[in-house]
Amino acid sequence: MDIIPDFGKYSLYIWLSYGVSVAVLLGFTVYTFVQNARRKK
Amino acid sequence: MGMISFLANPLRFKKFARIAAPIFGVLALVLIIAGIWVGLWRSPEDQLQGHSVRIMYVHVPAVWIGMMAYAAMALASLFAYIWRHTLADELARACALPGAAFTALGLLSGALWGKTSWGTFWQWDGRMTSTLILLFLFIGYMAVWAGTTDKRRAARIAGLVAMVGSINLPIIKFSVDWWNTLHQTSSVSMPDAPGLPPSILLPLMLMTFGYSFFFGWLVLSRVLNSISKASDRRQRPAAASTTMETL
Repeated sequence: MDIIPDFGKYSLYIWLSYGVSVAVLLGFTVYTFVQNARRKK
Repeated sequence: MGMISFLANPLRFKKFARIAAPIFGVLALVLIIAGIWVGLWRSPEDQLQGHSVRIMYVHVPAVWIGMMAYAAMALASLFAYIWRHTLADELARACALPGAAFTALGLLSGALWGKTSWGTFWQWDGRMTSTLILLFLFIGYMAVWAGTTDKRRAARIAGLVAMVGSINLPIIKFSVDWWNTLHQTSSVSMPDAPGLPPSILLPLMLMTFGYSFFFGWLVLSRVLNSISKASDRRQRPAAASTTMETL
């Protein structure tokens, strides 16, 4: 099992799909944590 | 119905949300990490699509959650319309931004998958067009909230947008049966559908449940935060008048 798998000619499309998805989820996570912390203050 | 009326009480809702939100958050984290790991590292490539099938594991759940978010928003708006319950309005409002984000993710990953499978990022076919309309409906809903100063009026108009726009959900679902589209017909929900092999179904379901719990965590947190902000606003004038009296 490769650490970074090679998806051949589809690599760019696959990594872009997962990358953007994870980035959006992380963005929401950080924003929500900040809002939650402000609420609990 | 019993659950809805139980949670309609803001205090009970807060109690429930404070317990459920972190549980949903942890479940989302575990399931999404597992889904990505299986989707990218463990699942085999498809015979026809090759590795590009892996895009499905982020694309399909994102569109499903976008649709579910809209359905929840429309349903909450309906409850708010019938019972004039502000918590239902807050719930509907909390669904909008995450729903729009998941729909946008679905459209973007769909365009990338389309390029690998069909050779094009976009076609004005029934499913893609109706999903794009779903994104515009979310944006329209949020624009109403942002552009109307009177909160009650904003809730009424935005609620109407949510309810009327829900007609788009069956159009998205059945667009592949009604029109000739590039999309295939349903492979998961139809009882007589050919079905998907477990190696594809597993990452798809892990990501779907992961996204669902993530959406649940986001919505519960957003409602809790908006309740807290609203109570701060109510307390502030009272505190100010107390200060004035002591002066």
